[in-house]
Formats: sequence, C-alpha cells, structure tokens
Amino acid sequence: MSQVAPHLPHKGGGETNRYATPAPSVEAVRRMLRLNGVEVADTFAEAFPMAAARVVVTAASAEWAMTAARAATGYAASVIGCDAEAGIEWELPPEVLDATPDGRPGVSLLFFAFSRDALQRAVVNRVAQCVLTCPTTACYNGLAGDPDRSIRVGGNLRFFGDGWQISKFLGGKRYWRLPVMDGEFLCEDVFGTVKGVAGGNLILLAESQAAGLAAAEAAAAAARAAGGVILPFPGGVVRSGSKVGSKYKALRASTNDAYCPTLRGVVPSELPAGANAAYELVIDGLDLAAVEEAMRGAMVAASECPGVVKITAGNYGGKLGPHHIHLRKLIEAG
Amino acid sequence: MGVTLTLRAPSPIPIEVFGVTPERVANLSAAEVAKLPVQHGNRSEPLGEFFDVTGSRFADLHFAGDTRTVKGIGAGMAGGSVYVQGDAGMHAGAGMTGGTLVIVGRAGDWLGAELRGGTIEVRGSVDGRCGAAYRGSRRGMTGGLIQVRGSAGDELGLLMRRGLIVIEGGCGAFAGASMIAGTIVVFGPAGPRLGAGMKRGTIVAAGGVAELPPSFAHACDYNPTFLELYQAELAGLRAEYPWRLPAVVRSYRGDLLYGGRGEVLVPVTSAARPAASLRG
Repeated sequence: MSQVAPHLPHKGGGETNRYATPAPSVEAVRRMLRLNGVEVADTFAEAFPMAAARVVVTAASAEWAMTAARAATGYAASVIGCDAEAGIEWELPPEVLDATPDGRPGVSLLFFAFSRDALQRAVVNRVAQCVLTCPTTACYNGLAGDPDRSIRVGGNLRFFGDGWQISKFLGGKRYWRLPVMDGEFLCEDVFGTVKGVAGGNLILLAESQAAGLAAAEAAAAAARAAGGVILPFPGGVVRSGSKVGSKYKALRASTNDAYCPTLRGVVPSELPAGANAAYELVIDGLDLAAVEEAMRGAMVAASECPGVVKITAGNYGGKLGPHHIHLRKLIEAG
Repeated sequence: MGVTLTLRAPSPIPIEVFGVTPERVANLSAAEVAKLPVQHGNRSEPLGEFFDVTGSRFADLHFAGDTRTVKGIGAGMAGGSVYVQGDAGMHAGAGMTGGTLVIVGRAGDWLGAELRGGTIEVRGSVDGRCGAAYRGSRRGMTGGLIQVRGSAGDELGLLMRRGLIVIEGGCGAFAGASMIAGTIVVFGPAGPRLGAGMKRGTIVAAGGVAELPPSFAHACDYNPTFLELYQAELAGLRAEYPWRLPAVVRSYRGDLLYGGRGEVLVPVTSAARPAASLRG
C-alpha cells in the first residue's frame, strides 16, 4: 500500500552541482585582484545622483544633540521604503573652535532624496518632529550651496510660531526664532543642497558571521572617517542586501539570494567556498570623491580583518546608475 | 593707494560733499575730481577750492584735514571704501547702499541715516539720530551694519527696519524708538525711553537700561541661542573683540501698545532695575 517515492538523483559524489561555485581557472587566479591578501572582485559599485543636504543640529549638551540627531535620521535607511536616506556624518564637539555656529555641541547630519522637493519634504518633516521637539536644540545649514538649489526649512517651520516667530538676518543668512516651552527654537531659513552620490557599496564575504561583522564594523568606521559621507543603514552595516524584483509582483526588491549562505546549493550563489556570511556597506556622499574615498578606506580596513574571504560590490549591470566605482581603480589609486 | 582729499583749512561754513563717492571718483583724474561740485553754504563750488586732491582712479577715498564741518561724507555710496582720518560732519554714510565707511574720529548727527546696506565703523562717538529715519520718512535703516566704538546720542535707530547697530559705549534717549525690526546692541548704559513704540526688533541693552517705557512687560530670564550667532558676528568685526554679549538675559516684550512683538534684552546681572520689571 505504501507508495515509494521515486528515486531522486543524488547530486553529490562525483556529479557536479549545477549551482555550486565553479573553481576559478588558473588564468583567473593569476589576474585576481588582492588587497592585503584578500581577494577583491574585479567589479564595480553602481551609484546614483541624489539631492543632498547637510543639517547641523546643536543642543545644550552633546547627549541631547545626539538624541535629536538619532531621531531625525531614524527610519531613513533606503529610499526603497523611506522618504530619505539619512545618517550622522560626524559629531561636532565644542572643543573644536567654531565647529558649530553657536559654539554648542552639535552633530552634522546628511540627508539624501531623489529630488530637491522630496528632500525638502523629508528634512522639514524630520526637523519638525525630531529636532524642534527635542529640548534645547537649534538647527543650521551645513552646506554653502547655490541659492537657486536650496530648500526652505526654517521658512516652513516658522508657522509653528503662530505669528510670534522672529526673523533675524545676520551675515547674509536668515534665521527663525520660534517661541517654544523651554525658550526658543532657532532654525536657519534655507539650506543648501548639492547633487550627491548615493549607493556606493561594498559586500564583505567572511568565514563566519562573527568575522564578517567585525570586519564590517571596522570598514564602516573607516568609511565614516572619510567625511562627507553617511552609511544610512543601522550601524552602517546591512545584513539584508536586496536584489531588484521578486517572485511576488507587488515587491520591487527582495532578498539577495545569491549572497544568502543558507541558499548556497539551491540558487546560483556568489559565495565562494569558505564564505558563510556576507555583510554590505552602503555609502552615500556629498560627491563622488567622498564616496570613493570612503569605499577605499572601508576596503583597506576590511581586508585587514581576519576571516574575510572576499570583497565585492553590488551593481545592476551598469544600466541604472551613472557612477561606476571600480574596486580595481580604488585599489590602484590607493 | 586711493584718492586723498585733504581739507586745506577748517571751514566754519559747512561744506557738503554729497555725491563725492568712491564709484564717482573711480574713473576720474585728480584734476577732474577737483572739479566736482560741492556745496559751500548756499553756493556751489568746485571741490578743489577746499581740498587738495592726490591720487586718481581708485574706488577708495580718503578724507584728511579737519573735516568736522564736512557734511555727507560717503553718503549714498554703493561700493568701494571711504576712510576719514579725523571727524566727520553730519549725514556721513547716510543712505549708503554698499561699501565701507571708516571714520577714525567722531561723527555728527544722522550718521548712516536710512542706511540700506554696507558697513560703517566709527572709532569715536556719534551724535544723535544714528541710523535713523529722516523726519517724515517711514523707515530708518533697512540693512547693513553700523558699529560705533564710542557712544551714541538720542534717537539711535529711529524707525529702523533691518540691519545691525552696535554701540560699544552708551546711548541717549529713545534708542530704537518706533523700531520696525532689526537689531541694536548697546554695551554701555542706555538712556531712557528705550524702544518706545517699537513694533518688532531686538534691543540688547548689555550695559543695562535706566528706565523702560511702562508699556513693556517682563517675559523671562533665559539663554537665547541666537545671541551666540551675534557674538560670533561681533567677534569677526576686529581681532580680539573686547565685548561679550550676556549669556543669560532678562527679556522684556514690547511695546505692548504696538503688539508686543519687540524685545529688550538686559543682562540678568544688570544692576539697573528697569521700571518695567515691576510688571513681571
């Protein structure tokens, strides 16, 4: 009575798994790109232009400035699902002379969006909900941009003052003072924007999750040190890299199965032998040079970490983004 | 080196040099500059009657000699620079729209009256109605910067609309009277009726104020962030700027007869206790 399942062809033992990573040819090994002994894929990261703004948030203490900064840049990992990509560029300690316009501790934030209009909406909403509301803060423009390409931030928030807002015009800049319950919220009227570069990225393939994470942390720190960049994902490290499209029609993006270790052997995998975890760094910068410098620093830092098997980058075949950042050029430039 | 106009002898009759601006002399030879008309009493005379002219073709004008009775130095200038080695008479820098005017000595009434832009620096004191509106005018200063190292007379910044006036000494009565907006900073003691009739604007009486009009109300003692921006601006005026705006101020809102959107800020440590504080 029992039905015997038909015999499934056994894939192991001499037969080749059609999804297994092919061994590199001798020629390929000879031409292989290496950095501190770690293999680097001869590929490129594909990046896009995005409108960018720099917002300087200050407060009575570094802690409150950071609280406002974290809130204002929260839920801003990717424009796939958020109104903007945002992150903390660096802290501006008061010990550094003239680091902030009012001499108080501050944090510099970068915001990226697909258009200037979208950027203005995102920055105004985020400053309104997360900075204006936060005790003792003030908010300044951090980019000397072209006045024709600026976004209006304080000029939109001023209406919260219900007629009691006060404008101050000083040194060619307009500021708005809004009466709030702990005194005044001070916000610059317009903020400059530049055409930034978003989507710079690196993918680190490592022997284990722990080794990969340690390398990703080191790489993220090195990338941030370049300045003029943010890593918009939590902690600067992405564990759920995505590919374009999905089997589900409603979804525009889905998990990047080629880098999922649990799917090796089931789907065409990009993971070489010995790699059991992958982490991605996504880098947005005020210009291409900043993104390149950050990627270069991150690659060097990652290559110095134990357990890193390979460093590669994500692209869409070069069809979508105008900026192709070749890892080979980054290494050769360094 | 610019164009230097040296007054040969002090004139008891005022000499009016309205129109002798840096941009006017920038394209003229010394001889042509000497032919520019100036007003001497009720007569129009060539400038060379009173001044020795040296240098030419620079948008940089120096006045030398006893220029106390020379009126309208730098008035109406739109760019370039004017440097007065001594004192300046009335109306210096009045109606300027740009450029820089430096007066090493003191300046008479109406310094920078109805200023539109540019910067004026007076190293001595100024008389009354500095940055003010002329009689019958609806607006005084509407932009630019006036800084005075000495003191100022009455009606400082009358009907001021925008810009910054910084007086390192004290000031007379009615500073910022009927002010529409803008900022006045006085580091010395301020005279009575400060801010009378002001609609909007900020008067920082860093040296305290003898008496505020009764139509001002005490609002709070607080630490305004925006004053730090002004402090940074002041620090840029010259090396080792000696004056410090108070960190914590007592804010009085007024003039309540005109909506109360203006403010007078005095240091909390100020010994002078404004009459209006009784209202708080």
